[in-house]
Order: sequence, then structure tokens, then C-alpha cells
Amino acid sequence: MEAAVALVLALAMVASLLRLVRGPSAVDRMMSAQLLSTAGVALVLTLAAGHPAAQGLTVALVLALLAVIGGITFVRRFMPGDHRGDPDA
Amino acid sequence: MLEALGAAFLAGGTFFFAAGTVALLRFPDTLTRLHALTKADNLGLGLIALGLALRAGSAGEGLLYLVTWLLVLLAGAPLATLLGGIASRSEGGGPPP
Repeated sequence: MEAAVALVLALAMVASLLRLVRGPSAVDRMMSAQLLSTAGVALVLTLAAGHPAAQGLTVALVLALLAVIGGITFVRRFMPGDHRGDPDA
Repeated sequence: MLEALGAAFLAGGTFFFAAGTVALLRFPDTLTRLHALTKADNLGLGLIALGLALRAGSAGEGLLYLVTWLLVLLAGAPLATLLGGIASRSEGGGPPP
């Protein structure tokens, strides 16, 4: 059961790379990255389930936190009229 | 019993992830894709976390799955709103300035 779920999640992550390549806007690419991180968290949780050490939980939490930081960076860069994160400003 | 219920939740979560990915690839513009994706993948992760929690060995481990989902939800909701604002202001889903 877990293996089948993990396979579908991995396929979803690969498919979302198509949107990452195609765009067309930066928001589309960010959504693709969001799906990659959410599906990645689910994938790590699924693969780690049932193992007593439960290290996978730590990996999943770090992955989720990295997605938050990536999202905040994106919003700071692309929010109209706010260029605090813009190196060209 | 709990095993079977957990398997059903896992299957449901997998379905929502698949649906969200198809929507991300097939929907016509940025805002519809954002709308479809943000609901589908958070719900998918929730169902998978719930399914894994039901199949977990201990209550503590199951609780940690749900806490992970809560973190993703707390981060995802405001981010989806901000992304929607950026997409709608940069007319027609074109590249932001």
C-alpha cells in the first residue's frame, strides 16, 4: 500500500516539473515548487512510516520549513511596489 | 479495522495529489491553477497524514504526522493568498515586473 502511494507521489512530482519548465509566469513556477514540496513531504512521510527510528519525520518537517522560506523569499521579491528583496532596486 | 480505514485515507490522499497535479498541468490560466492546486495538495497531504497516523504503531507517532500537516497548512494558506494577489495584479498571468 505505502509503496503504491509513494510511486504515485513521485510521478506527481515529476509531472509538476513540466509546469516548472513551461511557466509561463513566475507564479506558475512557484506553484510547481509548492507542489514539489508538499508532495515531497507526503512522500517522505509515506516512506518513513513503519520504521521505528522515525528519522523521516524530521526530514519531512525540514522540507516543509524550507518550502515556507522559499515562499516568503518569492513573495518579498515579486510583491508589486515592494522591492526590499530586489537586488536591482 | 484501523488498518483498512487508514488504507482508504491513503488512497483518497493519493487521488487528490493526482488530481491536483493534473489540474496544475491542464488548467488554462494561473489563477485557476492556483485555485485547484492549493486545495487539492493540502487536502491530499492531510488525508495521507491521517491514513499514516491510523496505521502508525503508537499514538505519539501518529500525532507527529498530523502536526506536520498542520505546519504545511499554516504556511500554505497565507502563501496561496499572496501568490493569488501577485498573479491577479500582474494582468493575465504574465511575468511580474
